[in-house]
Amino acid sequence: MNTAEEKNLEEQDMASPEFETPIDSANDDMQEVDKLIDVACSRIAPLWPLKHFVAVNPFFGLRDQMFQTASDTMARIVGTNLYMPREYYLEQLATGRITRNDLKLAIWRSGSELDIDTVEQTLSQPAPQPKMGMVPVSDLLEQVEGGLWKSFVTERISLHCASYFDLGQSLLQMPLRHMSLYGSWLKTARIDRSPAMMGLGDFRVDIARLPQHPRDAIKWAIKELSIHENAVERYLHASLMSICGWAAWASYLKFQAELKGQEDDCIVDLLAIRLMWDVILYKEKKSAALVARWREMLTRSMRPPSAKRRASAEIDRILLNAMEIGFQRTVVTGFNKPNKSNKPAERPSLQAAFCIDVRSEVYRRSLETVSPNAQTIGFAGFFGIFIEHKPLGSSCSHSHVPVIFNSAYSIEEKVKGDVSANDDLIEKRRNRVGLAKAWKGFKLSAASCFSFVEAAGLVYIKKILSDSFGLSRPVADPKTQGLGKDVIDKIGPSIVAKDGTGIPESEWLDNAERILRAMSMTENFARIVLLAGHGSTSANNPHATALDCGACAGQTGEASARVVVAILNQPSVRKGLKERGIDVPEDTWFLAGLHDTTTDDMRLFDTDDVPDELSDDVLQLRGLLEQAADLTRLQRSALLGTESLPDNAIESDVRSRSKDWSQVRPEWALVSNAAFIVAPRERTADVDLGGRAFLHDYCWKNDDGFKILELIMTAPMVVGNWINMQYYGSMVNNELYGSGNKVLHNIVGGAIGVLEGNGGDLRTGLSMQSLHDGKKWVHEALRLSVFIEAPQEEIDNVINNHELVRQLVENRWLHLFQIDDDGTVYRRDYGKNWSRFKTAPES
Amino acid sequence: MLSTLETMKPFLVLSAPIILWLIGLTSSKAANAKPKLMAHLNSAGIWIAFACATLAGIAHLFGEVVTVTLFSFELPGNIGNFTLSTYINGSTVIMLMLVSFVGVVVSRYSYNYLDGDPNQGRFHKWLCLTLASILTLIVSGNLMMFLLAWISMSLCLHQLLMFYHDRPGALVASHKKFIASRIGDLSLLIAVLLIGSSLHTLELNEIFDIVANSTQPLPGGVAAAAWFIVISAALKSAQFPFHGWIIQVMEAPTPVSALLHAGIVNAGAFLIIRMSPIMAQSNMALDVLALIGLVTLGLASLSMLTQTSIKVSLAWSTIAQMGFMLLECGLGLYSLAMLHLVAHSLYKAHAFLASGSGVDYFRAPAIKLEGSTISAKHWFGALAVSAVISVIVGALFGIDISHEPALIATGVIVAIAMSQLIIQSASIMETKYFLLIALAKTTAVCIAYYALHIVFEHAIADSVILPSKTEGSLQLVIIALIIAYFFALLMLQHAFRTSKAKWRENFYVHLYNGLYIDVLITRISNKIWPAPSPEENTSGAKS
Repeated sequence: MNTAEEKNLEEQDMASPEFETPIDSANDDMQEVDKLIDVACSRIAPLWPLKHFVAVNPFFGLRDQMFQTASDTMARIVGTNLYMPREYYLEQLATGRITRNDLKLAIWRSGSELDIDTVEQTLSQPAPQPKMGMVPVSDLLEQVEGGLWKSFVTERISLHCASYFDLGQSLLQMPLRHMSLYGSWLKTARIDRSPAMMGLGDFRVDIARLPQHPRDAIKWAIKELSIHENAVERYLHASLMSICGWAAWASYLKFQAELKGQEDDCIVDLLAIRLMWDVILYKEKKSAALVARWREMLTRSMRPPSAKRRASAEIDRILLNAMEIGFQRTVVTGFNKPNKSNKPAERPSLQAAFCIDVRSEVYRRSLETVSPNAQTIGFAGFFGIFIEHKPLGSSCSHSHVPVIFNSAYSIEEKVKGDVSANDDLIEKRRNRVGLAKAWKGFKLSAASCFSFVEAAGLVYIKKILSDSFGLSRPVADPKTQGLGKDVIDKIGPSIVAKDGTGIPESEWLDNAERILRAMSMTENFARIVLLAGHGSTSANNPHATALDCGACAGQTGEASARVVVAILNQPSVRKGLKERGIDVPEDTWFLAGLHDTTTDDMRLFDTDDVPDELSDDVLQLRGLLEQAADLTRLQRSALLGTESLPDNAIESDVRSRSKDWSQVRPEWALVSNAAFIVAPRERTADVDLGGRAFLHDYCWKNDDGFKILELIMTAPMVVGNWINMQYYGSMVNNELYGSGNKVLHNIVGGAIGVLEGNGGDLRTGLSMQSLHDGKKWVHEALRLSVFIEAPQEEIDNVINNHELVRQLVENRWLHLFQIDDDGTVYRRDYGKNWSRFKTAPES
Repeated sequence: MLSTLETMKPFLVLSAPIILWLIGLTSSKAANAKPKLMAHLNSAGIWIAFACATLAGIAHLFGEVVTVTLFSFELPGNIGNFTLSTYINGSTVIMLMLVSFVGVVVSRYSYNYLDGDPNQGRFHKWLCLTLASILTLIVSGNLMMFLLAWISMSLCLHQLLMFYHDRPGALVASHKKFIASRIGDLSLLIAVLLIGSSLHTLELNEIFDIVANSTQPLPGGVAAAAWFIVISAALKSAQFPFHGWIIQVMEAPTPVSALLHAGIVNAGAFLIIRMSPIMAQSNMALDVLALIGLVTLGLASLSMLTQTSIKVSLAWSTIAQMGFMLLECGLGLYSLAMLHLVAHSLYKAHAFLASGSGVDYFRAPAIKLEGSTISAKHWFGALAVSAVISVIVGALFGIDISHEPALIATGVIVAIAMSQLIIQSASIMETKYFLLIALAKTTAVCIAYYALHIVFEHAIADSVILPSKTEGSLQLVIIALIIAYFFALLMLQHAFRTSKAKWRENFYVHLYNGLYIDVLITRISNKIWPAPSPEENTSGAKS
């Protein structure tokens, strides 16, 4: 901050007699409040931007609470609990999705003393919900005196956040972005006449008297609004929830800063802004009715759940468990027993590694069906290489690793082989992109936008037609923008180390060994080993990146696969691997692919590098992949409602979905995900998991010191929980944890997120179109069931050593099961003991 | 062949709306029961309408202005007859083709977009009726019929804007729009009655003839009518300060926005063009219209630049473009206004339908570009080059400014826009090759502009009577104002981005909030007609 501003702030400080700096004796209290501020802010889960959207568990900040406690807390704060409404469960009972058996098991599992008849009777009544949550002053004011206060205040805060955080939608940006969020708000609010137009005549005067520091402001508000000390944390949490979208964005910025070892406190600023609105409204509009309502609301929202609601929660728990048990049974009964010979010593005809993503499960099964001697492997889709990727000619790179990690290497996209062609191509790309940019400026600028329309508007006849018929994309494909069609196949990520990019040769071998061991691939390699990343294709879809690979931070997976393959094919690496006990045969070739989850096509990369003696293998591979794709599409057609069509129509349907600018469901993505299975593929080879399971290959006998187990439970399993809970949250309360109706989406801040309709708060989570087909829910709101084939005490060790994992497991945010060598399944119960999984209740 | 087509023209023109009226009469319940069938029917109907419009367009290329009357009865008060008639001239067929084309695209888009929505059938029904109303408006040969279509268009659109009537935001905005529209309707009704009572006819062709052939001044009622027409046009085209509703109607599915911005909001300019004989009677009314447009376009185009959400930014852009179009109308440059109307519709329909693609710009690689900082030297260079090109190209196309001084203003506007393109390019990259391409593009823009101007001048030559801006007109003052205004826009935008001065803060906040007028209007309209709270509303929705 420069000195002029400081001086300015000082002046304002002196002009604020209403606010007294807290005196020393109150210091302890104040520190206490500081802690509560931090706790409340930590409750808000981050929101990733649309340019690389990844799934987040919206309840991640509540993981230190039991699922039920979190449900009660949220019921008090926002007015709804974390269960589906009773009608939903009733429907499941009616259709037989929940059986009496399941109910009995669930009663037993949740330690309830109720008998099944009581449960069945009670559940036909709607569950009692609180009248309202812990709402801000604006909502109460609207109830007391009418008007549009609730939406007005949300709108004011949302507009300010949008202009402060804008990534580039506006051509004229807010001039105060160098200040803090709160500081810039204080300044703009002193200029803004909107509140005055709403009848808040003294608003600008009030603003001038507010504390200059956000934490001071929060403390002052707590005093002015007479928040009881017991209620402070909940009130702060509720205040953030009232603007939860932007709070989630601020939480993301904090998350990113902390990952880099920096700090970011704009979420506290946002909280302060929200509270300042409360105080100003409270003071300006103070009436007996408002004060009475405010006090009543505060008291009510601090009450513990009533006996009636506790009893109701017990029923909810039983129902949720019953549904989960029904699903778990189908998984457990599908597991193979281990008798199948002592390991197939035979060399597989093909090996193909896929991302653990549930969409891979269907494809893997299809590939195994069309090629019974093929072996498929499940692994996190970034294939264990920690890269950021810099597209050709770009000045910045995108991370391609799970969002909880930092990348280690910067990989540049280059023309393969020819160095001189590289500069030439960059120059061409620069010219094309530059012209497009200049044209955009001409199109949008205040003085030229009119002439643009008259001179060039008619061109849009062609654009409308070609976009309507899926012949073009409204905006150039981000991957290939400014590149000629002929060069797309000639460029790729380069691992050669140069000027701080690439991977130093000395580190190739370590990476290669680590990755192969993590994939449990140490022997018996096929001639072709395919590493298939995944990505989706859709047009005009703000949430397109949400369909891409989560393990690659919302990017498509081919860059990682190509880098790993490039390393594994190096002769020097092969030699080194052999010395370290991993013998990759000379005739083995690693190949990178990209599985398009919308069309189920598989694109292969760098096939011209494949040695001639393997060219038949590649040809054969292509044939198999096409058959597998057909089979996969056939299985997915039931969800898309095309199952009654002939094969080629099913295929052309998904192709047109991938290009259709009006398509709101290009694919069903990770819908109905519910299990995470960590085991060798043989365990699940014969069961159709219906695209509902994350499959991670793991063989504990090869895992020295159980380091890999630890990694799986602390990273992919957590990511699985994030995805699963994103669906769960979006389904139980789409209003709050989802993004509403896709046909109303309005992108804000360039690529930050979407608003629903005119404005209001930023939206998080999934749209209704991703969960519901208009007639019924396609997703099932279930918590993730994790199955791990490893010794119980080793699993316990990981749980005990990692607070995060312990919280997820023991606070019931997921179910944990162990598979033993016989294929018997044990459940880790709430007493932390392992007990055998029951498929039927004991009589 | 052509002569058959020529005789078929009235039939073709009338079939377009009639077929859509018939389809749209399906009950909402039946439509919802078979949403896909309804969508297909709607789509088929609008394709047929488009085909009819295109054939009529071809026929009109070789034909004359035609009027056909189907049905007629006399209205009281000697104001002429109410007739179901059609009046076909250049502007009729252009508008008919345009709107039916937008209709085809929008209905095709809605098919998948609304898939699964329980009210998909109802959506298509109202989409169909809205299109039917617009097409009726376009073909109307009688002012009373025109007025009814005008009102019907707004009422049908209201159903689409309220498609999600459980959303409070949708209610607030559509109530506001409803109130503004009824004022506009009332104003148009007064205009129609004034015209009828002065000229004793409501037939557009007769009015056209009376004005074209009159040697003495027409009754004062006609000039008064021009003022009410200006009010109606300004309200319909969301002009300042009644622009607020259009920024807030994003509470309906995207294709509704596309239709609204491409096919409905521009009805203001269509009204003026259709009423050009009346408008010619009041230069003052036209001058005021030009000023309304000028004020609106400046405010809105700057405000657009500050907006942070894609649809709101597009809405501000529409307000600005409508302002510019009405400015052209006010200057009597109907052919340019018509060009603007058509081109803007296509551009904005696409922009809305493609509004989900905004993120793609940010996913694209951040290519390193090496531009230069723009100095005064750049500005003079760019402006000089643009001015020279504009003058040469204009002269080549035979633009005669002595005849129509308003063309000086448009010429300057084009030159300023061209210099913006040059400056923009230089600020992105300064290689010779790049600047040459940019210059070529600039020239192409200029040529396209003048060529299209000529094309549209011919296309609607039979549709308008130009005002004689000789007496009682502030035209020269307005022209000077426009030129200064556009220079100011150019410089303001540039100064905002380069300066560090404090004025920017106030400037920014006021613009970002659209000068606050709308907050006040929302508050008032919500007092007059409050949106029910969500609880009340759900019970209301069931009935």
